Amino acid sequence: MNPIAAIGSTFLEFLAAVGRLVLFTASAVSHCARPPFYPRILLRQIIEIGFYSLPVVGLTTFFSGMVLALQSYTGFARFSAEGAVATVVVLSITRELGPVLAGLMVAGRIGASMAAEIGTMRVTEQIDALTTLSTNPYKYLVAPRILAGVISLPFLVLVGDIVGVFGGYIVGVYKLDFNAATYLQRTIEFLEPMDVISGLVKAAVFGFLVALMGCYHGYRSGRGAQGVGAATTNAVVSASILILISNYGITTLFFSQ
Amino acid sequence: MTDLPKIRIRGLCKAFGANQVLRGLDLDIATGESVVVIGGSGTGKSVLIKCLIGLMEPDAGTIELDGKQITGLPSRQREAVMGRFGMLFQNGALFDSVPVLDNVAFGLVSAKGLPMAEAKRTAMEKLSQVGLGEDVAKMYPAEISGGMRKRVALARTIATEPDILLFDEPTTGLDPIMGDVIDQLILKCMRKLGGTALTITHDMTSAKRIGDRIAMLYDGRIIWVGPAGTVDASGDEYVDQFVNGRVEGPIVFAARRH
Repeated sequence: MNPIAAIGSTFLEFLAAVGRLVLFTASAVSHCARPPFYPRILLRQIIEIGFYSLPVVGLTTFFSGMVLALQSYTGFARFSAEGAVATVVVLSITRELGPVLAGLMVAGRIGASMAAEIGTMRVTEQIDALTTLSTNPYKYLVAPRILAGVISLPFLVLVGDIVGVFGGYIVGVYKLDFNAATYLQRTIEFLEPMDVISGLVKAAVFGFLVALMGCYHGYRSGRGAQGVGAATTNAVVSASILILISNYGITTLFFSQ
Repeated sequence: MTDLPKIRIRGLCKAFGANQVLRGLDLDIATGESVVVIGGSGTGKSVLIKCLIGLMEPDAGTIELDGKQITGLPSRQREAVMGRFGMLFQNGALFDSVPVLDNVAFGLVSAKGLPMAEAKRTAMEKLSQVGLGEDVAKMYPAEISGGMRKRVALARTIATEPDILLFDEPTTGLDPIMGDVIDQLILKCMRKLGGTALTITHDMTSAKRIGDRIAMLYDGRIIWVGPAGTVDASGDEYVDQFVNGRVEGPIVFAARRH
């Protein structure tokens, strides 16, 4: 094939994919706001995302807080700034690591599961069956998952923030011999509400992206086990990339001068 | 039967990329009539039924229901029309995440707006109509056999008492005895509901049992239509080859392209 034609064809395919995603997103968001609503499915999804992801998010942020305290102590010791460890830990966790790590963990756990579940429903004609039973699949399958993602992720990140700061505290007090009261005072002293709020806003956006990607790739899953497998992989990869890209955008909105 | 067909399909075309599956298909189904469309794998039987129910939009042609065109309707009106159809999918398409009883009650809640308790009572009656009891009602679709899944799917199809029934390969994957059981249940349900039915299948025994008329789909068009009893002596070489399952003949089985 002519190389220019190949580039053009790839670009057109990319534009078509963006168009499909934008249409899917617009339809999914509009169905989130219009009845009928399915509160039982929403609650089940909130439990699935918010409750069952607690261990993985807790463990990730706990050990990240510990590593952060240790690394910043060894780095800051070079110019006698060890006292800033607590502040660095709390700001890093609340502003960045909490939401990003929780988002990535949930993308791996929930994004994959949503894509696999909806993809299997597509392959086995369950989505067609929903339509024939006068049930809009966007309302029944997509909207509750997206709402649950937006609601659950901030809750998860809040817990992750607390656990992550606690991880830093454990290392700071029991390994680096900081005074416990001083460490806690320094943790609170420079923490501002906007640090936590920005993290929670990020969490809500990441929750939206993870659920959207899981539903989108599942909904458009190809035939057979291979199609469902590809949908699962694409959901996790695209959600992870979008999380990192949007993280920069939101950080710019909140913190650029 | 009235002069106006319940379903009138004219010039239906559907392509997937370069693969032209339906090429101007025409078919009439009278009120209360059971028509069976036969044809080889990949000839577009499922595409026909999906265009009819609105799961696929045809590229060209019209489908009329009681004289009113239903192709290209806005989504709200389409949903209202869809409520008149009941469809039995090839593999049942039961919802894995809910028990059998909830599967059958699903349409009663979503399409008819019944309260869950009443919907479950009605669903239990429908399950007993297809010979299943409370023990099966509590099970999940993954826990029951293929024949049972077909029965549950049939119970779900008839639960909302639709006036048009669509059956997509109702006996595929079943042993001959279970195939006969499903055919008898379909006949019983059709008699009870008095509805119009369109079945697609390549199982000739089943086609002759449940059809008033049989139509042969080949090369994207209906090439022969006649009473079910005459299919063995149709005089059409395509139908003869298909009915007798001969390799030699005018039908060329191309590799499936989609």
